[in-house]
Amino acid sequence: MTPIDSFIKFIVNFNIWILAKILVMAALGLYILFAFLVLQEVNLMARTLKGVFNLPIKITSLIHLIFSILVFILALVIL
Amino acid sequence: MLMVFLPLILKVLPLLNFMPSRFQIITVVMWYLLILSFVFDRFLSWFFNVYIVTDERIIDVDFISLVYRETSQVALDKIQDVTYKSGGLLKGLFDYSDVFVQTAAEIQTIEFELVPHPAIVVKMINQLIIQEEQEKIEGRVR
Repeated sequence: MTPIDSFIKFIVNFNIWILAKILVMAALGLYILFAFLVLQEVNLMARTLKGVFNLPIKITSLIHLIFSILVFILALVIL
Repeated sequence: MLMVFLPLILKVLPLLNFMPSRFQIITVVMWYLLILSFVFDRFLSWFFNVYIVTDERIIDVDFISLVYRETSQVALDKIQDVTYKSGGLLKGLFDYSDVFVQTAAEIQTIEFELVPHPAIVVKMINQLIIQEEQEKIEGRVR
């Protein structure tokens, strides 16, 4: 079998859902970075501005980060 | 609110049926993740969009998005004019409007968007400017 034949065989047998899984995982990985950045920004702003609502907002951003990590793990397991 | 219940449409219109069921689940979960992110982004943009007035300077923090923040500050002795524009039924009824602080600094106008009691804000800033000018004349340094 020539390299061209094996390449064509690879293209024909290629499972599109594997590519979709890689793209979803990459997107969710980027989302975790984004959620982490949000947490840092919120902590910075909460340090700058003292207020009653700081604690609930900090907790919400932490929940947001944990939720994004859980979705990443869920995608890793079920996809 | 409509966005929250949008995945229920999938029961009537099978738009995601071309996907395997595991991808359908992840799509719905990702949809809710995006909604959470959008709501949180809008809330924080409003909550952290603050104006700080001290006896030395005015600081304007514009939390444009979750990853982009713009902070500008101007010393009170650089302020040339403080005005506010009011008008409209709701603004008049609830006493809120935009306050404009004209400066001689690089940032020419600092805009306080939709602040409550704009007349009091303008009065307070003007008092602080007079106080700052007096301190300058008397040579007091803080």
